[in-house]
Amino acid sequence: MSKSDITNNSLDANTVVSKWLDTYGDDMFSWAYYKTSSKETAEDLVQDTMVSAFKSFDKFREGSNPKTWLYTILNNKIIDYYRASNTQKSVNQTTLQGNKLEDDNYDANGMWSNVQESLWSNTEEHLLDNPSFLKVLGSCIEHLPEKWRGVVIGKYIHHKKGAQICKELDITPSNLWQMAHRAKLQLRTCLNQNWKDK
Amino acid sequence: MNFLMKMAMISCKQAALLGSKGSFNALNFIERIKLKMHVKICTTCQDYAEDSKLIDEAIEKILQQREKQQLSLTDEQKARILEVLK
Ligand SMILES: [Zn+2]
Repeated sequence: MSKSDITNNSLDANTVVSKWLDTYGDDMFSWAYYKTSSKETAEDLVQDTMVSAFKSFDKFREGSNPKTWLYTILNNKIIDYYRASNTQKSVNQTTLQGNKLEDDNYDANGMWSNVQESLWSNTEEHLLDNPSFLKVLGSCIEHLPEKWRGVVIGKYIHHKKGAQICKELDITPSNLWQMAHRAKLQLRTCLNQNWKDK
Repeated sequence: MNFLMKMAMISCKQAALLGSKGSFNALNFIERIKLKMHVKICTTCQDYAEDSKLIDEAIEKILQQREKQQLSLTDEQKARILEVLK
């Protein structure tokens, strides 16, 4: 293969991948956002997918469906994203945050120490129909540690089927229950801080 | 200590954790009773259960909306994504 062949091939790949981004980019971005609750992360994941598609362009069979191929790559990137938080450093950090959250909420006997006023009380309106409430909650979800976010989103996507979520996030059932509990505490605290006062 | 008292003797923290486990339909019979007994006598946990239910419903609503929502990448975002291919 001559040097000009290589250049031509990579030029082609570049053009095709750019075209794919134009055609499927919005759908992929929407899907990645749905799965991660973060637009920044979603953009990164689409970019990583395009880089992978570009690099392994010669593995793409002409005539097969590019969308299917791209989504396979994207879904693997999403799984990698959640699994990347399995590193010791990230696990330690999340555990620390979780322990602190529990210390803030419970006394030494495990009784509620910091009694928060119920979100329900003193409100006539239906919060579920309040767009600003949902917006604040959305932002609270975005700020959860990755794994907790994965649990919260996975619970909805997989209809509360714990086994499926554990498999995807590579965690044990007791991890799952604890993370779901901690995510809930964090979201409630976040709502109390950011929504009630408004 | 009678049987019922003993059953109710879990902390609020344990109750919340059981509640979490229960939300994945993973409680066994004894755990279910323990949780029920505790929440029956603990008003703080009753409040928490209400909040927890509200948050679950709100999350469901947000994700339902997002499932249908079509986002668009801006030209700037597309340019940024393609930048690394150059
Ligand atoms: Zn309690």
